[in-house]
Amino acid sequence: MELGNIVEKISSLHVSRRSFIKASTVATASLSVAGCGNSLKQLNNSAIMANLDMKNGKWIPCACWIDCGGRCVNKALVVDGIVIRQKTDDSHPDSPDFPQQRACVRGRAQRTHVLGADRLKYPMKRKHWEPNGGGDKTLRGRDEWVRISWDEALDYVAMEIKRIIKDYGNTSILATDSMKTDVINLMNLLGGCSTQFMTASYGAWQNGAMYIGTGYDAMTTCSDRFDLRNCDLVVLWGVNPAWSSGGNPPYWLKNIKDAGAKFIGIDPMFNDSYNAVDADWIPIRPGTDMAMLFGMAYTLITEDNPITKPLIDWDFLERCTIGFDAAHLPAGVDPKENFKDYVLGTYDGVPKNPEWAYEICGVKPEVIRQLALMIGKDRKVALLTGYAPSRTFNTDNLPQLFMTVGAMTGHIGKSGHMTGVGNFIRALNGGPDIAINGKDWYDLYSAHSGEFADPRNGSPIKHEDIPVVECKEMWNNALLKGEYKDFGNALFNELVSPPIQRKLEIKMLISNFCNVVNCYPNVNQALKAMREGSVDTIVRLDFNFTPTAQYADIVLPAITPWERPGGMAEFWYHNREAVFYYFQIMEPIYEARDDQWIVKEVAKRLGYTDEDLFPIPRKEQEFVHLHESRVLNENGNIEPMVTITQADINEYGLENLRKYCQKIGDDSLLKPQVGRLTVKELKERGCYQAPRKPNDAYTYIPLKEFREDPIAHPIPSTESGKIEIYCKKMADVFNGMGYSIIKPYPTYIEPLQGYEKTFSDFKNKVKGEYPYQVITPHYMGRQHSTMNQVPWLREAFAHPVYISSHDADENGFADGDTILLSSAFGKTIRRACVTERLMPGAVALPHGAWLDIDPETGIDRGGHDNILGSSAAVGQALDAYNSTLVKMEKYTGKPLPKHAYEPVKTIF
Amino acid sequence: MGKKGFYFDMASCIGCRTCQVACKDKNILSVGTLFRQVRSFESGKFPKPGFYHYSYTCNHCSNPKCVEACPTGAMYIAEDKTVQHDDSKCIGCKYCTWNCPYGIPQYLTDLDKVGKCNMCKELTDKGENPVCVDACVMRCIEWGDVDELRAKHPDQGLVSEIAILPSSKITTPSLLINPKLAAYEPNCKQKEV
Repeated sequence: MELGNIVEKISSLHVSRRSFIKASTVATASLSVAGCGNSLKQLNNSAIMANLDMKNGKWIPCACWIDCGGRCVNKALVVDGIVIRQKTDDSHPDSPDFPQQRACVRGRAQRTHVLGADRLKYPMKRKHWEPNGGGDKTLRGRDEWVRISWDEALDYVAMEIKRIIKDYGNTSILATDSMKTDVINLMNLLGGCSTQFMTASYGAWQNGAMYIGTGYDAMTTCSDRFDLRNCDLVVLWGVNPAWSSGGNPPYWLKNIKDAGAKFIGIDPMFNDSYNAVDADWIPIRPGTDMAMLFGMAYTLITEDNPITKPLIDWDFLERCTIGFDAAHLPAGVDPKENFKDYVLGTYDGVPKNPEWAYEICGVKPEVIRQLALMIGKDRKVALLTGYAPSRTFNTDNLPQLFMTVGAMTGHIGKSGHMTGVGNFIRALNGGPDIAINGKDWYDLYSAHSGEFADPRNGSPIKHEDIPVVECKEMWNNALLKGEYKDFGNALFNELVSPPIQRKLEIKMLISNFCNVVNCYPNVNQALKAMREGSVDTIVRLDFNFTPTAQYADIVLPAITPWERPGGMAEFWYHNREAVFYYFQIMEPIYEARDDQWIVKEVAKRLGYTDEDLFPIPRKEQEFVHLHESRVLNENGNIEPMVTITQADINEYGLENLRKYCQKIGDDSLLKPQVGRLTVKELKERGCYQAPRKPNDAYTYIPLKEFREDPIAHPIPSTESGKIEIYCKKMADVFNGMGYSIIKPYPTYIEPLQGYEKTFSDFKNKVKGEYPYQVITPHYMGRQHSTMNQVPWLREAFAHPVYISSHDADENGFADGDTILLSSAFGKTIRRACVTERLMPGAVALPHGAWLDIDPETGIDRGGHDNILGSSAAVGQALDAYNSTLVKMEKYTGKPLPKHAYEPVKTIF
Repeated sequence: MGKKGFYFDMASCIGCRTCQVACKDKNILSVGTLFRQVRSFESGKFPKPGFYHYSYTCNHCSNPKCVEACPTGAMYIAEDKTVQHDDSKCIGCKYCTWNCPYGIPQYLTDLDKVGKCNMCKELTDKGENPVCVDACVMRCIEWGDVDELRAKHPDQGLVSEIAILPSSKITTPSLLINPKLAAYEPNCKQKEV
């Protein structure tokens, strides 16, 4: 039945709003599924409009919660409880200096996400799962599902938690959300649990950046958007905000271009960010960026002449760094162990010159030389990279090398000069928050009682005894062998060395956040561990049928932020200048429930009260959030953002908060305050946005004070207080992990699964079994694995595999052919997009598609990137999503349809 | 006072298709039906590729072939000189879909009628912008009086035809494009992204 007809029918029957939402979900389901069956139902706009009382229509700010790197305003037109349309920020006129917070394509498609055919509707259990360790775990991911009642589901979960804690201890439960979540909160109440960590998106920047004297993100290493307009040249090294930073970041690029800057993009792929600013593209082989950077450093060292050709900022190197050459090493270090002599090849006989680099990275020596000359010290240059180049094996020193080239050329700490990260959160708009989202309740409780922040804080298990399992240890070692390496508090950069080999018997996995089955390299290993390993029970709270839900034993349907009481948007730190408020705009669909309700119900069955788990309910949590939101004023002081009157306080009630404040003896949360806007104004606009103008007090230049006076303003995170081109601490920490050895200064290490490994004989250039290198760009058609099955996005973004025209010609591939990619670890298929925008030898498979294994062939049909990857660990065990080698061939099975018409994974 | 039309800044477009989805949302269109559609085109040879996106929609032409072809008067030039469609007169004969050289009118199978961009008439009548204009993250799409739009961008060398589009002489589209150089390359291929 088409949506229009449903509306007419419902209007005439005067059925309840709740039933309508059920019905409209079905309609969306039929919309999605009908697409597959090629019997499209045209939805009749006028029929809907005719049957709704548009006078009751109201635009309401609603959530967009995806982890996209941005945060924007999203509004829904709600008529009689039904979402009719979406729009974005229109709270003020749009201008480059004070822009609207416009939503990207994903935010605009949320309606078909929230009402998608793949929403989980009922609690369910896997048919052959049995409690108490019974049943058949080998059927995970291929079993049938049985719908069960909430009581049954919650009883099972509570019973299993109780049994496992009693028989095996709290550490036998592994909560796979590496963040503060409601499930982690539950586990803390129950006495703690094991958790896990990974470098994830951040690559080598995750753990190394602080030791060498830089930040790990754009917030701390990139100037703000106004200062970027002062640049003459912006070098984007593996950066693509057009795809990886939702909302305004790509617009900042346009502003910078309009101000007169030139752009250079260094990347295996000519992406949409480079294209939009007419960047000169320097194609480079995947994972070979360090080689090119060494070639540039060599050029700078050998061609610099302070009088006739000043390239190197010797003053900056002298004052602000240690370790550049033998004369600047820390005391006691072998003078041969220095960066400059390594680059020149003084002791190893191998000059890391552009010719040497070309052999590896494929960038012609004259291009490397020319770029080195272009970034010399007297030009205003931004050297900005993303995480992708360091999501590769053996690039632990890449951030250090990138920073070293920036330090050599002095592009640090001055207006129009910067070196660091320019992607993901705060892309092209660094600096501390101006609009500061209030503490959420987790922060609040952590601050006051240390009770709930994470499994390591205040848990009855001793801080140091909480197992924190590195993700590559998780499947293969923890689940299959019952052991893991204990690196200490890796989530807080408190790595211990040497690691301690420990026993660990994991009996339960539970999560409501990370799509853990989908997001780690070498998924076949995860499936093996789940089917053959020690785990009795896998519990998943989710709102759609993600692979993590598909491979679970008990699935509990959760609601989306559209269906729960309002609040402040998650991932607030993605936007420097604005914070966002959203409302509940629809009733929960079917039997889906709030995550907080679900964990409370489990806790109740284990003898706890609601207040034990959530001392204040959602509405009062929202009040705290509003009350604690802050603005950075022009004098650098923090002041309240939201005006709160006694009337507001009365309206919220705050019965539980009062009790809580009494308990802690601090009633500051209950006091009225004067801020920049009223609660009503915030809710109407959906946003507070700090006014900005050029040269205002918020203009941010990282390391400015440090550069001006490194003695008075040392870098707190380095041992020397300076930028460390020789960093003993970093080498000690990573080497102490016991996987492989790095030097305290950047050196080239032939990577596991790098370009060289595409050859069986590199010297004579004989190609090996897996001759192509796969990169996995973040994709506009979804965000990580979120929104993977949204029909409007699938229609807009085809999720092809990009193959260079050179390689396509060699293999006889054409656009639209279904191509089989095979690595040593797994296989997947995708339709080819043959392109001139890709370095030959590189293959680009967009990141995040859901695993979809064909049970007959074992081949993934979803174009899932992690089926191909390796879970090997070297250096700091970074997750090498972009170090994957494959062979390619035309797929001889059934060709794939266009992405928009691929089947959507649904249940019930 | 000239005709009302769209301005498209191809030079800054990142191909994000937010305009396409905002249009689908406003018009409640299922997969396969697009009143605004972004397509991507590639030319040149590695390492010097030409690449651009073009956001197709109705050009509200001065000499619209869809109106000329329509046997029932369902497709018509409205008072404000935009090209509008009266659903009640449409008999689903598809003549307009065959005659529009831009391939814009969409035949809607289930309704047995045609639909297309009406420049969000119901919104512009209330003083609002078409949804695509306010949706664009790169601020690439503008609408209004084409003479005023041309005057607003004096340095951009705006054009009404590019290699992938028919000659503007056929229908005199109300269309202004700030083109990328690659848009003049006739040997280009449409690419999925």
